[in-house]
Amino acid sequence: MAKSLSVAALTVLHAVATGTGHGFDIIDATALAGGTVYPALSRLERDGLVTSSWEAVEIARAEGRPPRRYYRATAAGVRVLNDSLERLHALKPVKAARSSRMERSRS
Amino acid sequence: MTTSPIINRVLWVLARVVPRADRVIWQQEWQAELCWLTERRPSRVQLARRLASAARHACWLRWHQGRVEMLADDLRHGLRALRRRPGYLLATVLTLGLGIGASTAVFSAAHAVLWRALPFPDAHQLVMVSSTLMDAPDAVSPGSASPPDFADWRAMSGAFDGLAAISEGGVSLVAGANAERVTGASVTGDFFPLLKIAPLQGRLLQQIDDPVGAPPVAVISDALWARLLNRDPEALGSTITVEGVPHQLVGIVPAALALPLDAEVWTPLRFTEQTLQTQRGAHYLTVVGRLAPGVGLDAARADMRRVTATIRETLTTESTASVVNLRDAFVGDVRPTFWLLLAAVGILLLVASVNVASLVVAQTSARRQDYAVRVALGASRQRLMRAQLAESGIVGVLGCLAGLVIASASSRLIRGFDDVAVPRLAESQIDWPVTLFAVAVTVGATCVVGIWPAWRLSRLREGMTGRRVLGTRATSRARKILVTAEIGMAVTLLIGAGLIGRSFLQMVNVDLGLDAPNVQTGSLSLPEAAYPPERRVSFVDTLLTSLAGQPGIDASAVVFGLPLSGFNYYISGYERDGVRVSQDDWTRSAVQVRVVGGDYFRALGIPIVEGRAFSDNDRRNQPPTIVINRSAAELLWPGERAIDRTFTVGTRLGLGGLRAGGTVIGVSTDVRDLGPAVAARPTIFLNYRQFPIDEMTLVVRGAGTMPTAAALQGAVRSLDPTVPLYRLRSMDRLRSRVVAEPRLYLSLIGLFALAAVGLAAVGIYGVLSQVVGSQTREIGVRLALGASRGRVAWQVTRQATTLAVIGIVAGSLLALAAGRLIATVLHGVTPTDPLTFALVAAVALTVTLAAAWLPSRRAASIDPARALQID
Repeated sequence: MAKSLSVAALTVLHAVATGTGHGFDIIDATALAGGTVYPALSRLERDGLVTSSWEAVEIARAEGRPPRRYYRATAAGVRVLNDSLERLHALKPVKAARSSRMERSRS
Repeated sequence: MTTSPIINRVLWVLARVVPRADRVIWQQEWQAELCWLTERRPSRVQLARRLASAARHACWLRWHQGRVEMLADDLRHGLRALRRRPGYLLATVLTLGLGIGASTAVFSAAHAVLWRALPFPDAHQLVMVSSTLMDAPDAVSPGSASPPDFADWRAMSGAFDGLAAISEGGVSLVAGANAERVTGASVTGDFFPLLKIAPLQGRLLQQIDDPVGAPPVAVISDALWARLLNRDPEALGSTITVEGVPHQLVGIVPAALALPLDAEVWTPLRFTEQTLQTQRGAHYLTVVGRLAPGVGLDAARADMRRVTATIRETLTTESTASVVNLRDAFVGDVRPTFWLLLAAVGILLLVASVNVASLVVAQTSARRQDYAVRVALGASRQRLMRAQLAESGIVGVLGCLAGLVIASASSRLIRGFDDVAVPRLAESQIDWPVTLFAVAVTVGATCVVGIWPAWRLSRLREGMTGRRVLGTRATSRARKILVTAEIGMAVTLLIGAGLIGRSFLQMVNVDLGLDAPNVQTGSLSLPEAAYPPERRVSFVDTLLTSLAGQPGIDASAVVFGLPLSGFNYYISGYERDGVRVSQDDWTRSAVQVRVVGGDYFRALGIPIVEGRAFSDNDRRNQPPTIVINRSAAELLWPGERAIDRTFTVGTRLGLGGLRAGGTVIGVSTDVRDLGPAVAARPTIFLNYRQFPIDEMTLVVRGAGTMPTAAALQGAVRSLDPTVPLYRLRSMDRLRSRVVAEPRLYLSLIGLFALAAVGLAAVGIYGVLSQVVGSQTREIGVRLALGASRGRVAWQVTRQATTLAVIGIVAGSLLALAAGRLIATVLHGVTPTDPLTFALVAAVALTVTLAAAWLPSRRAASIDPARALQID
C-alpha cells in the first residue's frame, strides 16, 4: 500500500484494529465526525485494509433490530497501521524553533 | 426496537444518491446504526448530525465511484483500442480535423475582418461621418464629405470630442537620395489626437498646422522611416519633398497605425476661404470622429440630423449625414458574406461530425460481442459509456490538433488572395481567440460524435448478447439516419455553391461596355508646382503624340477616373440648358464626372452612338464641350436629343473655374465602371485640354498585342525623368479584380460543398457495404431461390435512392429557409433558382448512385453456394 493514510483514516483503522466493531462505536471511540468516519471506512475497505461482515441474523432478531455491519482489520491493514505508527513515532517533538530564531535576530 | 418511519424515509431518499452497486449494503448499515442510536434516546441535534453523516457517506460513495483511476483506465483502454484500428483512427481524426480546420480558418478570417477592434485606444468610440443624400441615407462610403460640410459639422455638432478630415491619394516622395511613390494622406490637425496616437519620434500633426500659410510639415510611418532613411534620428527636421513641394519632416508615426489603409506619409490638410465658400459639392473627404463621453451612436445621429437640417435651411442641398462605427464603415458590406461563410463552414463541420459519428456507430456494432462479454463479466453500463466517450474524446483531441494544422495552412491560403478588396483580411491569424474557438468547436463536435453511440451502449442489459441494441439491423438504421442528415446538409451546401456559382458566371459574362484586352494602363501625377495647367496640356499632348508614333500602338489616351478602378466622383448638376438646376432636380441631376484626353473612347473600345468624340480641334480656349453617356442623356433630357444642349456641374476642376461642363457634342454607350454588379451610371466626360487636372491615368491600346509597361514608362521618362509612372495594370487585370471577391467566396463555399459531398458519398458507401455484408446469407438464399442478380443489385440501389431522396428534399428545404442569407451575395440570380435546385438534386442523386454502385455489385456477385455455408 503505497498511498499514505490521512490521520483521520489512520485513527479509524486503529479503532477497527483494536476491536471497535461498528460505525457509531468508532465515532464515539475516536471523537471524529460521522461524516469523516464512514467515507474513511469505505475507502479502507476498498483498499483492502478492512473487511466487513454482517451480524448473524439470529442475534439481531433476538434483540429486535436490524443486523449490524461489523468491521475488522485485515492482515494488510494491520501491517499498514503498524508501519504508519512507526513512522509517526519516529517524528520527535520540536521546539518552536522558528520564532526563537526570529527573537534572536531581533535581539 | 426499530427506527422511526421518518428516519427510514430520509434514508430511502438518500439511498438514491448511493450508486446502485452499494445501495442495499449502505441502507442496511445505516438502518442498523441509526437503530443502535435510537436505543440511546438521542437528542434531535444528535439525530440530525448522524443523518448528515449518512448523507455525506452517500455522497462520498457516489463521488468516488471509481473516478480518477477509472478515467485514466478509460483513456488507456481507449488508446489501446484505437491503436489496434489505425485505419479507423486515421479516418475519424482526418474527417474531424477537416471540419474543425475549415471552420477555424473561416473563423480566424471573420474574427480579423468583423470583430477585432481597430488598433486604436478606445476604438469603439471612433466613427465615420459621411454625407449622404436624403433619399439614400444608407449609402455610406469613404471620401464622401466636402470641405464646407466638414467645417459646418465641426462648428455645429456637439456630439463629438473631435472630427478630422482625411484626403487620401498616392504621392511621390523624395527623402534623402531616395524617391518613391507611396500612399499618402492629407489630414486635419485633429486627426492624430483624435485617434490617440502618440509619436514614435518628434511630433505628429496638430491644429497649429491647420491654417493656410503655416509652414509645410510632414510625418511619415515607421516603415518608411526605416526604408528610406535607415531610422536615422537626424532625419527629423530635415526636408523631404512631397509632390514636388519641400516639407519639413517633424515626426514618425508608430507602426500600428494604418489609416487610411497603407498610408505612409501624412501632410496637413488645409482649406482656403474660397474652398469653404464654393466647394460644397466636392465630396472627396473622409471624416472620422470620436464620440464625446456618454454620447452613443444614436445620439450622435440625432445631433447630425439636427445639424444638417440647419444647413438645409440656408442652402439648396439635399444632403444629410450618417454616423457609423469606424470599423463597421471599413468592413462595410462584407458582413453578411462572412456570416454566410460561417454558416457554410458550420454545415461542413456538422457533416464531418456526423460522418465520424456514423463510423463510431459502425465500430460499436462490430465490437458488439466484446461489449456483451464485458457486460456479462459485470461491467456497468456507465463504464461502457465512459469507455466509449473516452475514445471519442481522444479522437476529438487529435482531430483538434489536425484541425489547427489545417487551419493555419488554409489561413495562409486565404491571406494569399491579395487581389481581394476585403479590408483587414490579411490580419487573420491563429491567435488565442481563434484557438479557443477551435477548442469549443472540438468539444461540440465530440459531443455530436460521442454521445449518441454512448447512449446506445447504455441500453445494453446484462445477459443480452447486444444483438437487439447493437445488432446490424439497429446499427444500419442508426447509420442511415446519420447518412440522410449528411446528404441533406451536403445538398444545402451544394445549392448555396451552385447559386453563387451561377451568379458569378453571370457577373463574368456581363458586358461591361468596354473592350479590355490589349489595354495597358499606368497612373501619373504632375507636380503642381512644376506643372501649371498650361504646361500640363502640352505635356499630355506631347506624350500622346510620342506614343501614337510608336509601332504596335493603336490608340492612347489619358483619363481622370479610370473605369473599374473604384473611382467615384459624383457631382450634382448646376445648370442645364443655361437654367439653374432647381432644388427638386438637385439629386436627380447628379452625374459621374470624368476628364479624358486623346483617343479615350477608341482606346477603351467604347462606341460613340451619336455626334462625335473629342478631336484635336477642340482646344483650350474654345467654348467647352462635353461627351455624355447614354444614361446621362436619358437622365438629363429624357426622350429628347442631347446634342448641342449644355450642362454644367458645380465643381472646380483644372483651371479654377467654379463650374465644369459645356455643350454636348457626342453620346457614348454606357460602361459599368464599378464592375458587373453595379449598373452603369450617368456620366459626363470633360475635355482634358479644357479641364487639365494634375492626376491622370494613361490608357494605351496595342494593335493586336498588349503594350509593355516599359514602353509606357519610357515614353513618360523621355519627357520628364522626375515624373514616375505608377500602378501599372492591364484592363484585363482590373476586370478580373472586380470579381476577385465573389471568386474567393465561390472558391471557399464550393470547396466546402465538395468536401461535404465527398463525406456524404463515403457515408453512403459505408452504410450500404455494411448492409450488404450483413445480408450475405439472405441474399444468397434469394439468389438460390431464383432471384435475378439485377434484382438483388436494384434492392441495394433502391435503399440508397430512398436515403438520397429524403436527404435532397430536406436539404432543399433548408436551402430555401436560408434563402435570405444567400441572397445577400447573389447578383442576377434568385435564391430559389429552380435550375440550380434541379441540377443539385441530379448531382446528389448521381453521387449517391455512384457510391451505391460497388456495394450493389458486391451483392449481385454473391455466390449462393458459399453464402449459405457462412455460419
